[in-house]
Amino acid sequence: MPSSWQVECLIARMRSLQNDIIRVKYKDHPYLNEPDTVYDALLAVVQARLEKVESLNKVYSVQQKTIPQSMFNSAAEELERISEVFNYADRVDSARIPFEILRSLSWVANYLFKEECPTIVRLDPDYNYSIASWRRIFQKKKWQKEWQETAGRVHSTGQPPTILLLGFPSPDAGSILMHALAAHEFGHEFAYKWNDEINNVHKEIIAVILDQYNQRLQDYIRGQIHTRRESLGDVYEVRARYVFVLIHRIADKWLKEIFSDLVAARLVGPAFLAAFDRILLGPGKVSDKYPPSSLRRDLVKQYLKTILPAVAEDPVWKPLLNGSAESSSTSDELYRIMGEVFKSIPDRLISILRRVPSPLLQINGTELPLLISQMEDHIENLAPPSVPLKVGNEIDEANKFWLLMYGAWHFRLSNHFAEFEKRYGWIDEPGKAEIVLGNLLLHSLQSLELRHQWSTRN
Amino acid sequence: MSITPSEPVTDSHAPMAWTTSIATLALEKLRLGISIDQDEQNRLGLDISDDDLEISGSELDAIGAVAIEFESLSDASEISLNDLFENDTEPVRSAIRDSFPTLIAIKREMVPPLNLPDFKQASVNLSSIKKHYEIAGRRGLNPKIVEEAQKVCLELLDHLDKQRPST
Repeated sequence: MPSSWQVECLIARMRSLQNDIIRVKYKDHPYLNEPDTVYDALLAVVQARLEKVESLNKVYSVQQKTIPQSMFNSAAEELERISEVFNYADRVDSARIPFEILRSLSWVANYLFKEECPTIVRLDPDYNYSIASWRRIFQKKKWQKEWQETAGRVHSTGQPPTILLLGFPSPDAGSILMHALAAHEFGHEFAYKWNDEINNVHKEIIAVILDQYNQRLQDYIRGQIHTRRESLGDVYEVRARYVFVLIHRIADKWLKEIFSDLVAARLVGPAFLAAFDRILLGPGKVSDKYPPSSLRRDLVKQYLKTILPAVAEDPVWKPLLNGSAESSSTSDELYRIMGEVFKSIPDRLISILRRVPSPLLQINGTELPLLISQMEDHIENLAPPSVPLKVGNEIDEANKFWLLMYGAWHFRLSNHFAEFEKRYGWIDEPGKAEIVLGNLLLHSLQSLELRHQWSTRN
Repeated sequence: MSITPSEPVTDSHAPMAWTTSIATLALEKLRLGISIDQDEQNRLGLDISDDDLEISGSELDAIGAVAIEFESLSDASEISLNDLFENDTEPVRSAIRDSFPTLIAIKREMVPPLNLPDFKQASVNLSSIKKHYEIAGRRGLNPKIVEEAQKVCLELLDHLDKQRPST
């Protein structure tokens, strides 16, 4: 049982965390008030827990009883959870953050999700790229009450406003080309928004597993039991329920990852795989949360062949779509079963995916190669590749963001890039050519937004 | 959702554990308030007021949430393995499915035979406590059902505590 001293330490730690959040809140940063909303919501969460711990301490100590250890541990866990979330928001002011990209990403998010999506950025010490909605982070942690009270007015959708949290890998904070991954991350926001439809596909997957793989599942469950305990029936029962939970969890996580991959394929074609390969070196590890990357690549290829066959056949993308000599086999039978079931996933998701506006589909089949060629000409001559993109045509302006991203990666992976390096004498300066390409892309993205504002006001 | 796997440092049962802790605190306040009235508190010199023992909105909500969780746990434990793995039966509701990890956590720690706490009764008790308090405060509340409900809450907390990942 925790001593009164230990309870005092817990309360002191909670107060320290409050003070730290306040300290960070008052640091200079280039945003309006977006980080303040996050800090205020976190402070509300800490305060609510602190009040409960103080009340707990009073109610038990007045009776000269000790707080049950499990309740103390639960409070300590809450402190850890809040600290973990605070870590996402305590490095939003680094000078290395490319703040110029935020406006473009926010503009694109506003367009896709039909709500204001102000954005803050953090540098991720792990080599990782992420976009998450703070509203959703608080909901997942079961702190939605504090978010709602702090973020303010509720939309017509019934939801309070959100703020997006972008996480960039710290070593490559300045890489603009990485933002092709935003297409995948926005896919997760779509999955959350269309949760009912995604859930229906989830049910279909489970039905297939129970219908066609039942015997293999039962064998798998029996094979997992390594005990000679007397009540084998009880052990089997617990194990079977565990496997039941596991197949639902894997189906849920894999479905959302693959859905997000296919959203990315719709928005930016195979370009997101190029950025993906920068993050996830090699074949990656299959897990409950992430399908094997070979399966992901195969499904993206399968989907692109269906909706954009010319893009799928473009030789520039071959190294990405064919992958390296990675093995798709796994030693775990459950992952093998899931891999087999998921091969039919693109067909099951096709009607939901159609709701994502695809700039690559909006361009006439023969126009795309011509447009890309014009964009690449501009890049080769150090001119922004946004110039060939016409203002006010059938493609929504915010959606041209993805065309620029597609064009930039197409250039990067083509033979033109080596010539580009040679032409400007950057062969001896590794990375310089890509930085220049990134700057041209950034300039283009900003120009796109400015042109849109100009045309809507005039 | 990050591109690469990053293991969460905290436990998936944490939100339920915290809600159950708040509900248990509320039940302790009720128990104390019922067993000793204000005059007795003054006589014993207990430094606790009626305000300290008042159940807040968030504590009542926690009692309600734990009542629902206990109901789901009870329903989950009644689903047979055949029903779980049979494609012809109605899919298990997601609320009940969400309770399975908690149920598994409890059963894992138990020595066979697996005698689960009476979640059904605990759910009924908690719902009745919440309803009573909303209408009449703690006056007339049956102390026995408060104690019984608190006992099951503490049992659940103990099981969840054992699932916490070690650091």
